[in-house]
Amino acid sequence: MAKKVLILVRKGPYGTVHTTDAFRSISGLSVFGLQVSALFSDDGVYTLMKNQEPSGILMGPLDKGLKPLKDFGAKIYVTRECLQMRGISEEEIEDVCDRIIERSDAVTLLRDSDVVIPY
Amino acid sequence: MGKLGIILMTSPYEYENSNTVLRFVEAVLKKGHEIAGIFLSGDGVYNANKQIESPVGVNVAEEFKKMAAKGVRIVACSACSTFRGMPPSLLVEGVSLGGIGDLAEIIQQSDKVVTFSV
Repeated sequence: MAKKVLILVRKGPYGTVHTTDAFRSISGLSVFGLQVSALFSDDGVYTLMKNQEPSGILMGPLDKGLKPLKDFGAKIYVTRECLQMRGISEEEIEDVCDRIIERSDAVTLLRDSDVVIPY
Repeated sequence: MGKLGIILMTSPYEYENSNTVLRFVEAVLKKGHEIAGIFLSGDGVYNANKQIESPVGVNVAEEFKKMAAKGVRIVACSACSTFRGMPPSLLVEGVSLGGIGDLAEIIQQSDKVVTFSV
């Protein structure tokens, strides 16, 4: 039976390579038959924002990579509290989330995963 | 007895993770458990750089080499190594280059996976 892997994205989309690496893990591990979910929390929620234009810092827009992750079969979750704390409305994020979850649901998601890989 | 997988995401000599992994694996094996594999990801690939010289303290790359010689599977992420200018010739003996498929395999074979990151 395929293991359940949760990729925890807690850092902003730019400034470090971690979120890019998280995307690679999400797609790659999905391809190799694992049940992959991604939870965007803390500054990781900025990754979900629409209309990113990071060309000025020589980076590609990560929001454009979100839908392909869904195509690989990954589930995407974001914590409501983290969005609210940063003043981000649901309308401002890409329509890719399977669910916007409460903190208690995040705990359940972490607990029910076989493996958690934090980025 | 259980089987453990390990993901090491940080470079040596900046974080304590490398030393912790070395001691952790030693303890795991001593207790009779198995290691499904160690996956060096991101800056973690630097742990296998054979050009590491440590005037004081542990030579992390040499320690990973010894660990591999004991039969522990150690895989350095190929893409991460390419991005960081780490060709296969720079890897210590016993550490192989591999991809996300190797990580998937280690995860699938492990009872528990422990990640060492920032």
